[in-house]
Order: sequence, then structure tokens, then C-alpha cells
Amino acid sequence: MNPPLQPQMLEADGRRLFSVLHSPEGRPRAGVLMCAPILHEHVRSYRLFALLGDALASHGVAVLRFDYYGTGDSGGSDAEFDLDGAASDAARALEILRGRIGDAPVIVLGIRAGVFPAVRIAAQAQALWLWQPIRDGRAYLAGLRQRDADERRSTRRYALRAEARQIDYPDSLMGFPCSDALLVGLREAPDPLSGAPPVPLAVCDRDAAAAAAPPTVTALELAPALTEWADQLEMYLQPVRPVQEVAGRLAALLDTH
Amino acid sequence: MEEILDLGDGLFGILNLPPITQRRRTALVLFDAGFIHRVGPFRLHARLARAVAAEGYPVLRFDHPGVGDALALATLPAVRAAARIFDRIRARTDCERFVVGGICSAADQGWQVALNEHRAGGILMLDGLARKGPWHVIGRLKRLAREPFPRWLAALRRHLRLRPPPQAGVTAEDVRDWPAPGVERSQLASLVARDVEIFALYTGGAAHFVHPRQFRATYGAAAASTRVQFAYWEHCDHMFYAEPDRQRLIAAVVDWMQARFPDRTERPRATAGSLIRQDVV
Repeated sequence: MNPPLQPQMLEADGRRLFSVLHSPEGRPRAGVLMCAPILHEHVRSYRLFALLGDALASHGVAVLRFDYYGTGDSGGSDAEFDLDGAASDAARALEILRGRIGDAPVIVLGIRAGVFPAVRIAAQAQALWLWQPIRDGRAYLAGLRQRDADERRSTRRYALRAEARQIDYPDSLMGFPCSDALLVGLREAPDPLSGAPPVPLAVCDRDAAAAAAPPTVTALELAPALTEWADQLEMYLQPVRPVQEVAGRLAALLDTH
Repeated sequence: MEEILDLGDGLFGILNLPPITQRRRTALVLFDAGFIHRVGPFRLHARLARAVAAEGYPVLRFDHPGVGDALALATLPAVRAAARIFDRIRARTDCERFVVGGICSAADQGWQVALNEHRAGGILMLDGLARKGPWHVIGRLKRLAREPFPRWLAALRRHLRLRPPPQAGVTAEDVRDWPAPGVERSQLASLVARDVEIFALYTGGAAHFVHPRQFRATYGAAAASTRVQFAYWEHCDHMFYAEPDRQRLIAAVVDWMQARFPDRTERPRATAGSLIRQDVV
């Protein structure tokens, strides 16, 4: 049984960030900072990564999750969220985590589009883990645009098809208001797997071996129960067993770094 | 200002706390919309909480066991858990009256809590209980009349069983926490008799509600009470996907709170409560 979650508001240059710390019993063997996915994927995956944080804590790992400014329970409006801000929020959260775990190694875990801020702070950590990484921000954005258009015209969402067709909100993406800065940031984000990684790198994905092409990158295969959420909008109960299983494998990775 | 409020048993909530000089005596408690954690669909709850708190009402958002950050299993029945949450909010804010509810299952839970907790003075009921019946049939036909011919044909085929209907056999009644048919009439009458205020809003995304007259047909004479504010937003979806719909909802809830719960704290004083994280790192 892990100690209770420690929710906390962090202050970072006038940006109030909500965070949750999962602490293990005793001294942590490592710390993991989770850089969350964005837009609907943040909400859709929230429970999965809360459970993963808890499961990693059972393996002696302290885990800090946080909401970027302009998202979730953090301060700011949706339109104030962009990838530059997310990277500075992640850097601040990393400092906080370091303060909590002493000299234990720190790993940054970037999830989906959360890989973009994660990569930018990776040099300050001992390892970088990428979970279902978005490698092409431009293609990702185009996919979201199409999916958003499909949602706005869906008769599952809007029973009155004729009216639904007329709905078009250019400043929103997947139901969330978004800024030009976010759109530009996604379009211009470099492939997180391009170039030499500054720290040991692992990729966690359904077909991780293919994604982690360079031989220096560790591949960790994920079960469908841990990856399917990214393709769905409906919420359902998150199965716990696959989360516990992958937490054990991630904890074992610590010994290889 | 937003604070983290300890709710016991490993649960916590986000409390939007207006300045004590502006604080009113009624608090809003938003329940999870299904499996979506406390920020709500498209961050609706977080924004609604800020807007309502800006008018002086404390607002609590929290995760039920099994949702979001609530990792532990439930230790109390929902109504008793709500009573304990009221106690925690009161200790922090001095509020003694509470508005409860939210979207879909949260509306159902608000209804149950209000029936069983005398401190619940209002229900925010978004796509809550409604029975089908003749007005539902008429509503479906009216919708169909506005659709192009291929949809008419598809509907006719379904009706004639030329192909199976989508999600055959599963209805709102099967998945929602609703009382036995008819019981809701006496329940609403008892709530109105207790002066409980109700904001019942239905959207075009709720398959079980397709005609405004279903409301009166479901709840009977008490539906006409001045305590009950009813609205039907036919062009809005169940989760308020479109930003203008969210803005409209937030404005409507703020207006309703101000009209129905105008009270303010009479004698502001320092309060002590179960705040576990007011500090800022």
C-alpha cells in the first residue's frame, strides 16, 4: 500500500500548476516526471497514468504528474496553453521532483504529444522514456483537424445533422479552444527520435521495436489495453492488470540506464 | 483562488474559494461526468467553477472512487459520502447550503443526494432523468421530418426490422441510476415542498429526451413549480463539445445561481478547516 497521493499547487513564474506526487514507501530509487498528452488525450488518459503512477510507486519510484498551464486543474485559460509554456512548466516540475527525491536518478516520461516538452528538458534528466510518441507534429495536427471535423459533423454527437454541418469553430481543436502558438508549435515540432538522444532513451509503444529504430534506443512493447485509448473518444473503465505489468517492466528498465 | 481540500479516505477535491468578503452562503458541488475526471468534458467543470466562484459561490470539484485520481475503492455509500463532503466544505467556508449535480450520471447522483440530504438546496440537472412515451415518439418524428430522404429510408428499414437497430436493447434506463417509473413525480414534489431549487437542462445529444413536453409528462404537476427552471437546448450535444455551447451553459448556470441563491455571508470571520495544501511551492 503506497502512501496517499500528494496533490499540490506549484507556482512557476506566476503560473499556478496542479500536480500530484505518488510517493513510494521509504526512500525512492528513482523519480519519474510524466509529461501528459494534450487536448482530449489528456482527459482520455488521465486515469491510466494515475494508475501507472501508483503502480510505479509500488516499485519504489516517486512519480510526479502535473497539468500544463492552461490545461486541467492548472491556472490559465485554454488559449494560454502552448508547447513553449509546457516545456517551461515541465522544467519547473522537474526541479520540484528533484527536491523530493534527493540524489536518486530522474526519468522524464513524455506521453504522445507530451514528448515535445519532454525532449526539451531531457538533458536535465538521467533518461528519457517516450510513450506512444508523436513523431510528426504536422501530421498529428492534420489528423486532429480531420477528427475534429468528423466530430462536429457526427450524428452520434449532434442528432440534427443539418444543424451539425453548419458548426465550424476555427479556434478550437477537439473541443478545446486553442491558440495559434499551439498550432505553430505542433507543426514545427521536430521528431523526438531524430538526432542523438542526450540521455538513454526508451520507446514504449505497441510496435516499439519499429518505432525505436536506432539500436541505441530501448524498445518496450505495450499491450493493446494500454494503447487503444489514443484512438478512442469514449471513456471506459481502465483495466488495472496491464498497468501493473508494464510498471514492473518500466521499473526493470531503471537497472539498464 | 483554488485550493486542494482533503475529503478523507485518500480523496481530495479542488475548491474554488471566493474572497471571504464576497463569499455567499451556498456552495456548488460538481460530480464527475461519468468516467471523465473532475476537470469535466473539455475542461468545462474547471471553467464553470471559476465563473461561479467569481460571483461569490465556493465550488468543489472532486473525483469519485474509481475515477481520475481517486485510486481507492469507495468506503461509503454515495449519499453518506456527499454528506461528509458537505461537512468538509462547511468547515472551510461556513456554507450550509449546497447545490449538487452535473452532467448525465452526475445529475442522477445530485437527485439522489438532494432527496436524502437536507442541506442540498439545489440540483444542477444536465441531461437528467426523463421518461419516453408519446412525446418522445412525436419528438423523434419531428426530428426525422427535418432530415434528408436517405435517413427516412434508414429509419423505416430499422422500423421494419430489415436491419438491426444500433445498440439494440440498451436504453438510458438500463445504464442510469433512475427510480422506478413514476416515482420521480412524488420525488420532485417532495423536493419542491422542501424549497429545493432545480435547474433541469436537456440537450439535443440526450437520446432519451427529444421533445420539451417530455419534462412535464415525466415529472407531473410539480414540474410547473417556480422552484424548477427547465430548458431544452436542441442544437447542443450531450458533452458541450462546441465552445459557444460551453460559454452559454456557464452563463446560464451563473445566472441561475445568482437568481436562486442570492444570499451572502452575513458576518465574515476567519475559518479553519481541513485544507491540506494551501501552501504553494
